[in-house]
Amino acid sequence: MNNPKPGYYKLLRYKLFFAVFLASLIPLTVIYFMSSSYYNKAIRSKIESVLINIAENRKDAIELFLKEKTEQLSVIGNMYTYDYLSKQKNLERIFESLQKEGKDYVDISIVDQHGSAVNYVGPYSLSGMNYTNEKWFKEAMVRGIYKSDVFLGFRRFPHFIIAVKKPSDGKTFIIRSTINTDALKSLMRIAEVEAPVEAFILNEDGIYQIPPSEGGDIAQKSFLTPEQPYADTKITEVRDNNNNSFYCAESWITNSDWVVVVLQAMKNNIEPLTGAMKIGKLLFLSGLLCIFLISFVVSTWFTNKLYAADMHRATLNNQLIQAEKMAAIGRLAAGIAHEINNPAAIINNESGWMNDLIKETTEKGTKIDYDEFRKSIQQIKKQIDRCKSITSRLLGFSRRVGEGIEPVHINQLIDEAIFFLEKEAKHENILFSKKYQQDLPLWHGNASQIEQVFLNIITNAMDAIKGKGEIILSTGELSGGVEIRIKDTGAGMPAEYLPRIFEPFFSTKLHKGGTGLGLSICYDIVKGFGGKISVESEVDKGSTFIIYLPDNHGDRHSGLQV
Amino acid sequence: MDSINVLLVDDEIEFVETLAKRLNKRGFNTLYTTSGKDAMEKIKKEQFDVAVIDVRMPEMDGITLLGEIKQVQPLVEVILLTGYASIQSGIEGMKKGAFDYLMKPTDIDELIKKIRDAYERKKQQDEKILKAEAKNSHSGREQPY
Repeated sequence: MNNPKPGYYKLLRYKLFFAVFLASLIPLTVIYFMSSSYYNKAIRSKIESVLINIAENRKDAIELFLKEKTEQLSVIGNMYTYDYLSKQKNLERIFESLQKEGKDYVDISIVDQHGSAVNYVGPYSLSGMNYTNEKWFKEAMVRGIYKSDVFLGFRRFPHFIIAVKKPSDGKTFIIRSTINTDALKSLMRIAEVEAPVEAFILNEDGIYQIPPSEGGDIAQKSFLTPEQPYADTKITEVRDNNNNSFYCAESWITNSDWVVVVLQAMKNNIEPLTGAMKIGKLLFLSGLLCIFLISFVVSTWFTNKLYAADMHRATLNNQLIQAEKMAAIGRLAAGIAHEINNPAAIINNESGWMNDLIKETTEKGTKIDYDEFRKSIQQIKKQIDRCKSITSRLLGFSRRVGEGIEPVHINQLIDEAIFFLEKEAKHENILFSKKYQQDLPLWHGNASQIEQVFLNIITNAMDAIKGKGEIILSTGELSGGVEIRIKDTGAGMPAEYLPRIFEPFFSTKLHKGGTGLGLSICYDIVKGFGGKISVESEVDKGSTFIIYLPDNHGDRHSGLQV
Repeated sequence: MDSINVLLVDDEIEFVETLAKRLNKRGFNTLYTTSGKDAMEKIKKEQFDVAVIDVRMPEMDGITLLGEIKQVQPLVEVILLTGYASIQSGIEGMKKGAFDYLMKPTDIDELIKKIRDAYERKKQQDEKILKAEAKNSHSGREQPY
């Protein structure tokens, strides 16, 4: 039997390895990435909810502060008339009472509808100032309430303006107050105490109103440019100028162009996540290593087992082929014994005849008959040559038991196979007809195995013929290979047998001592050479076995004498 | 000594030809042929005492020929020549009325001994038949019509 090509087991091992490896790796990878993703989302969602909470808390606090200041100024406007407030003493008293509640107010001034500061209480002397062209004045006159951005002013401390427009006895005036940002700053610092975050306020242009505790100054541009105001708090991922990543919660203060921003550096948040991810990665890599090792061990073990089983099967097959060959030889032995016995009997007879002649000459004193003597010697020589021819063919037959690949003359091989069967065929009135292609290309394969195929099919054909018959042996070149047809005029086979005749242990001759392995072995041998074997048969008309043997290295030889 | 009529049948012409010469040298009256068909023609024409037949022959094998000979000349004793592989055929032949069988290559003295033994038996059979016939013809005369 032909063993698998070299490298077959290596390739099989690789295939097995990758199959086992991938089959185990895919679920592991899916689990790893899914769990990472879920964990990531869970952590992220927790961070987001914390940041949103802080941002909204701070926004509420700032809103409350601004509302309180605006309300206080509004209440002053509602309680006192323009005339009352225009008097310095009155305004000083009101300012003092405001200061009692906290040091948020820096100053307070009353501005008439034309933009002139009619009264002022505070650290500067701003009485008489004209604000007609100031932005805050114009906006306060139009919108009723105005809140400025934070600025540093002359004394370089941060503050902002709240102006409230009030009508009084047919006159309109504005109460304007400068408010320092310490309170706002404190409110924002609370957020930084609650969590490792940076909390600050930006205006719509991204200018710091309340800068974070570290990095950033009033009126400086932040790396962030807030989006247009929206109602809900929004979470985004941002990067600063140093490419540090942050989670960013932005919450717009109602009716204002200020936005509360809470930033949390990703590296702070990610610590538990990275820790878990590290463990996950470690587990994944350990799993990967385990799978690799298991795949390697399993594929090697399995391939080795398969190799051993294949080798065992190949040995058994070879033994089976050898056994079948021995059975075929056993059958041939009868013919061969007869073939040897006949010349031996003739030699025996001729030598006896020569002895008779000598005895007669001695006894009767007559002259020896040399012609008879010569005839006998020639006959003996002829019979010895006959024996030599038989033994040399038999030796050739028995020598070819190896598994080597060699160039084979198919026509010659068929002749050798039928030589041993010819005598028996003659006695059974079976005629061998040969229709060989004379310039048949050499076929490269194992002569012994293919000869066994021929012997098996030809002896089957002989068994199928009852009485007189013919076995036609033809060869021809086909698709770069050789086609051999063995046709008999025997009993043929019913159609239902045909699909089964190459199955092991299927035999129509079991009662005659057939093993049912002959054709199955033929099938294996031919398949082993990449060939095809098929049969056509009709009851009472005979069967034709068609064998195709492919050959890629065939070259033409000069033809056979048949 | 009686001259024994022997018929040799073997498909190997070289074998029968020389064997016939050797037997003739020893006083036998030997004819030979190489096929069963030919042998039957001779049997039909001439009287033989002993036939020496090869078992394995094309067209008509020795066993078949034995049967046919016995039908034409039942008293002819048949000695079968067999190869090693066809001993079974020799035994089968004896069951069908062969006198004996010999394995090839045959020793001439052994063959001659077998032929003589066969001839003796044939002679006895002939005599028995003659006696029986004589008895039959004698009792026939005694019988009142």
